Amino acid sequence: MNRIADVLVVGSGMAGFVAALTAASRGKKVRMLTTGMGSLAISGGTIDLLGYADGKYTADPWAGMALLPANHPYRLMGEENVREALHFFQQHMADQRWPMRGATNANGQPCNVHMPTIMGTLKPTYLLPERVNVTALNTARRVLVVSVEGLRDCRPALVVSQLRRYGSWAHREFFELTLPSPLGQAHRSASALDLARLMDKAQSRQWLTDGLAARAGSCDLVLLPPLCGSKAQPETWQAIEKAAGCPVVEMLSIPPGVGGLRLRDALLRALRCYDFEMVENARALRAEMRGNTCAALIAEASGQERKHEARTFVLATGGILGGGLTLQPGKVRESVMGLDVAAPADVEQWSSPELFGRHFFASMGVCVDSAMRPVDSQASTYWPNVFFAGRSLGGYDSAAEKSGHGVAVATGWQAGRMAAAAAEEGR
Amino acid sequence: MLETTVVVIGCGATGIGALRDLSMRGIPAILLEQGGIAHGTSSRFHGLLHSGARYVVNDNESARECIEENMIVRRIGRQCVEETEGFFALTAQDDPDYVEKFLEGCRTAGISAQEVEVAKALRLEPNLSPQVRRVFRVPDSCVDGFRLVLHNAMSAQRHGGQVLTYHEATGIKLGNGRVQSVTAVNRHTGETVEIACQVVVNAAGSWAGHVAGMAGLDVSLSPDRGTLIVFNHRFTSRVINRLHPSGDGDIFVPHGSITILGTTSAPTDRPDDTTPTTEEVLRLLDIGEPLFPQVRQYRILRAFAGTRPLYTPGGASGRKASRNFHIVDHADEGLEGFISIFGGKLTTYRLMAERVTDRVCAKLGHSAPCKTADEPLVHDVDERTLKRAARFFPMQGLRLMADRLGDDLPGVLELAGKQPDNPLLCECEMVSMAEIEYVARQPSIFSLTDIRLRTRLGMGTCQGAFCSLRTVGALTEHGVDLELKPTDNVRRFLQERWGGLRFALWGMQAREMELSRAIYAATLNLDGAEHEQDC
Amino acid sequence: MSVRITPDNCIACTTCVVHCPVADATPQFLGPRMIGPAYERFRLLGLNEDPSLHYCSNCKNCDITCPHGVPVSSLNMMARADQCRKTPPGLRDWILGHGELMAQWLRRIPAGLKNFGMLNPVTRLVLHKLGIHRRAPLPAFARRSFRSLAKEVRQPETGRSVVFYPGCYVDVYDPQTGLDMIWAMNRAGYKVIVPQDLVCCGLPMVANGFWQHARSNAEHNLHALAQWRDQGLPVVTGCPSCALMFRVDLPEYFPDLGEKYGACRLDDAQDFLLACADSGELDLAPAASRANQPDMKIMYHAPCHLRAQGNGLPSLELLRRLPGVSVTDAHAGCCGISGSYGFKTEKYEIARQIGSALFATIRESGADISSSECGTCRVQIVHGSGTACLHPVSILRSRLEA
Repeated sequence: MNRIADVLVVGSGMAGFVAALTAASRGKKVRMLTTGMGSLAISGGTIDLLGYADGKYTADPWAGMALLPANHPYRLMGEENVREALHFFQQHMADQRWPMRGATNANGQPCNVHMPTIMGTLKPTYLLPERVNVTALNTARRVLVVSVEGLRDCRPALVVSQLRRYGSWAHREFFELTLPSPLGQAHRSASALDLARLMDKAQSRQWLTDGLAARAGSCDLVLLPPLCGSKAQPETWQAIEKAAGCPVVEMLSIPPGVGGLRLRDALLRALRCYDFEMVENARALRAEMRGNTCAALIAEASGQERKHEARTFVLATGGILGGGLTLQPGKVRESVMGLDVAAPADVEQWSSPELFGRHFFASMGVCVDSAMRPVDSQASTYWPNVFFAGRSLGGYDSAAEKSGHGVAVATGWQAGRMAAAAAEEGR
Repeated sequence: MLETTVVVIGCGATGIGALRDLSMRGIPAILLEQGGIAHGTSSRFHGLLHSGARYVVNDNESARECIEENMIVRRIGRQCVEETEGFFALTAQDDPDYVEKFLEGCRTAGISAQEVEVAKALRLEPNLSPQVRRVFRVPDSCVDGFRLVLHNAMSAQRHGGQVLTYHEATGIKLGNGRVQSVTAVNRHTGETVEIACQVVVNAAGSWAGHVAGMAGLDVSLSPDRGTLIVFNHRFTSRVINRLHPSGDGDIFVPHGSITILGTTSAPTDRPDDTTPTTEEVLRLLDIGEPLFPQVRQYRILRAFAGTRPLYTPGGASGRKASRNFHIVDHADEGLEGFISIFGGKLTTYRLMAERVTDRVCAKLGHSAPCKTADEPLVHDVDERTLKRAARFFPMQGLRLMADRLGDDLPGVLELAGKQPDNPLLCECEMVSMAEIEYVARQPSIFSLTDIRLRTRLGMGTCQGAFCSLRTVGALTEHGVDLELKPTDNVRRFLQERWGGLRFALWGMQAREMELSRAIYAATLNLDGAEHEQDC
Repeated sequence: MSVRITPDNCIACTTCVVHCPVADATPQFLGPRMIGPAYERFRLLGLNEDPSLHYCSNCKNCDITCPHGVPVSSLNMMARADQCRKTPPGLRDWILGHGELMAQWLRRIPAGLKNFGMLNPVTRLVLHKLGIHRRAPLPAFARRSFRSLAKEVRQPETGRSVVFYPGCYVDVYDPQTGLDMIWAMNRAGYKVIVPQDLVCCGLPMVANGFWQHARSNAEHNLHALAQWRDQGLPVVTGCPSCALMFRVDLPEYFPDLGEKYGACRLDDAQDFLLACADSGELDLAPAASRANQPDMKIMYHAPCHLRAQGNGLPSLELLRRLPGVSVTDAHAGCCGISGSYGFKTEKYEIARQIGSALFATIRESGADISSSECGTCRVQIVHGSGTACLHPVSILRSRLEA
């Protein structure tokens, strides 16, 4: 018996979790190192596959993929693999009682859904919890927008005023409802998470279900901030829809990420069925080589260093936000393997003066091959047993494309299975 | 057609100071400002209320003016000033012989400069470099330029003065060799307004040359751009100057919750050249390092720039140009009723305003003494009001907020009383909903930026990432409209903040930007929502 | 120069608030982000403290979950130190912060009498008024301290030694765990040195606002431990809170002490034993006399302060390797007690609420026993779940010893 993992995954965001789950479900011993609790704590609960390709909206994300540049992670791994990755993800979500499905249009073709946000804007997304009634979203005539007193992030008046500007929403009838807060006067301003946690327990749901029940029959769709529970537990949503008497859809929201926490809850439950270990508060510092193979990662362990040996390594370190890429004046580095990331020396060239324009930094990152192995400028792989996934990859702008979770799931799966296969070979 | 006695052009410290003085002396006056309050340099500098010690060697008279006015501003503008004192520190790279000249100059100018033992200085300011050789304490202080102008405006308005912001002066009508009227365009409505007057005071700062040009006068102003860095936290509780001949980047100024390092100097031909450069940011860090060795590890929030309205009758520029102020009565050039005031420092704004107002009074044959040094800009808040305020505002932030608001506090309290709850909408800078809503309802407030300047919304760590959404939400709910629709307001605000972020896009602020993009682009799709008609 | 604790790394992402057990339990706590780095920018300005700072339990979940390296709990504890400098803490906090010192003063009084005195209903009522909840699971004083018992243990001379820092909980209330630790180390071939001159790591003092006392203890300990480090001997502790204190907290709170005495490497004893198991030094086969012992089902609870150390969960792995034992990680968050926090009258219910998920998990699991390395966690788990709770090393001994 030894403590050498088959696959060492660095990062506990979506890409890290999917990579870990992919490898673990293939019988591999997976250890995850994470510094912090990963991006799912602050992200939403839908999977953005691809909303905008080349700056233009794409209704069918799969068709849009063909328009992406060749070095985009989706193109690198190929559409078929992306489909399989999503399928894998959906399978496990279903196993954990939180099924998710890809949205389709009236003709049954895959089609992005324009989800309302708490600002009243619409954001295209693709893979949704099955409970989300897309038909109602697209066609309901009478819409009730609900929020709670003290929930600063979500104001029905703003949501309605903005939704009305969209062609597909302009002619609907809107109602607003702000329920009194079940938390009363508190020192801390309430967040959607506080309220979602109340909703987890059957005995503390009344404040919302009663409020909705009073309006039942007067509307065909209820838009709520993400209150339908903090866990991947369908009963909560069921209870709310039952009270409302019509479909209830959660608006996409800003941190804390209730939707993301549910996905995390489901993914963790799935992972615990396998040989999976998470080492918290362990920041990966550097790699230790044996010849041209990576033998171990050295991580910080509360003031000391600790070596983590493994057969293969998946780095899902989160790009700029997660610390996987570090930016200093004139220099960009990938922070664990020490790869240099091509970037102009002049910081002013990293960004456009237009905030919503195209930025060099937005698609900066590690270059990889189709197997998610990092490659140099000559397209040769550095190491056979190191893989990257998620935001640390270059070649895509998750924020502008609306492809964040999509690339994370796809590349996480790809890196996870490639690492699992390489670990097998390594035995 | 409006009519008044004096039109003041420019709502910087000098202009508003003049409006206040004129109004207090009973002279009807209207002020025109092309942008918002303190649009120009007065809101884009390091915030140092000079003791004058910086000028004792090269310009001792200026230094003396500084220390006298410094004391006055502290008294009349208590709510705008942080009484911090300052250090002059001699680093290993500075010439020790300069110290004697410095001390001599301070004595001549009447500025207190006492040596502090280095060990003690380091205890007082633990982040200061242990390599400093000598330290002297001087009565430097910190002033919030925007707030100073705002409070002057409140005072002026109380005395009958009128402030017309977002009114750009477009022409000066002359007749019979004298000023007849000023025309301006309301930048929001497009309406033109003409104001008949006897005297025009050109206090347009970096635009003074442009304004003088409208009256057919040729004035050579040499604006000079200065870039400054804003750090995320207050790592010094005092102003720290390098003890050497004045140069770039040699002042660290605490400013509420942040620290400012400045300033560079580069001649420019545009008065509105307020774009910093990364090269200047890096240079400031190099220069600042001997004073604060950890400076590169401190998080930079943003960079910003302002233009110094330098004017030298001889035409010199940059550091050689005079920091002194000049009052020019253009009657000497054949135009009666047009007085310009050029240059100067914010610290001496009141004196500059007094001098120019004296000139105006002489012209009008009006004799009234100047009282601007005697009366506080805004009334101090009484204990009872503060107690009432404690019901609606977090205790600790109470004083900060009361000082910010000045005359507006009672109105904010009334508004707060109408809601069941008064949450913080901007958590980074502790700004509550009532304050934001009250300010938003003012007629001269059109954008989130205008609110930001009055309240500090979006000026902290997250640079607007969370608070802009909360603000437009609350305002929409309470029926307060700004100029643009909410999504455009937020876009414009974030774009404005972005203007300072991109030049220091590394370290933790780069992560903050990614979080901001994750919120505004990836989640709320503010970048994709143009095709609203198609969705 | 030493590390300066600044709020610079915070980007307001709210991850820490999501995982703060106290914020989850009560909306009266402003939350780690606001109390820590956000408010720190205003403390630097000299503003008065937020009234909800006292809710912070110093459980370190914020440190564990922050993706950006913000020293949240240190910011909070330093703010508490400042607050207590201005308004000195009361008797209740003194009692809870100075357990070892009190035990020292009361050592001449027989345990039975002491415990009767502390734990009888009348005293409990008085303590409740003072601020220690009458139902709080106050541990009983052991008859003799671990340090005095350790002197009498006959250990084999193997030529290899390890220094053991018991922590004041084991020393005063739970010496058996310390003795079990000696047994396990001996089995792994190490003689255990128990220095008599080490004192409380200072964590309860920090948590209750006695900053200077914590500093003196720290200085004393660092000075005393330096000699072992200089001799090249490993120093281990069975208490994750003490380990964390030495590895992370002390260097952040008192960087000058680190510079003066050098870094102090305090290893997790369970990690040490696991390494011994890996290398074969520690035999995990039960004695022959235990051949027919029934299988054991254990629910393991990872103390928050252990999760903060970035070493994973060595006890979980160690227990898993025992024959006939099935171990599950409860994975149910904080137990709520967080050292002295959950004993306080006004915090008791919050602590119960925080631990409720853990207690339910343990009860519903059908486990024979639960296990955790942290002394106060054990006390809270017994109190909340009604299930016995032992240190992993005690379970090891119970399964392996003849």
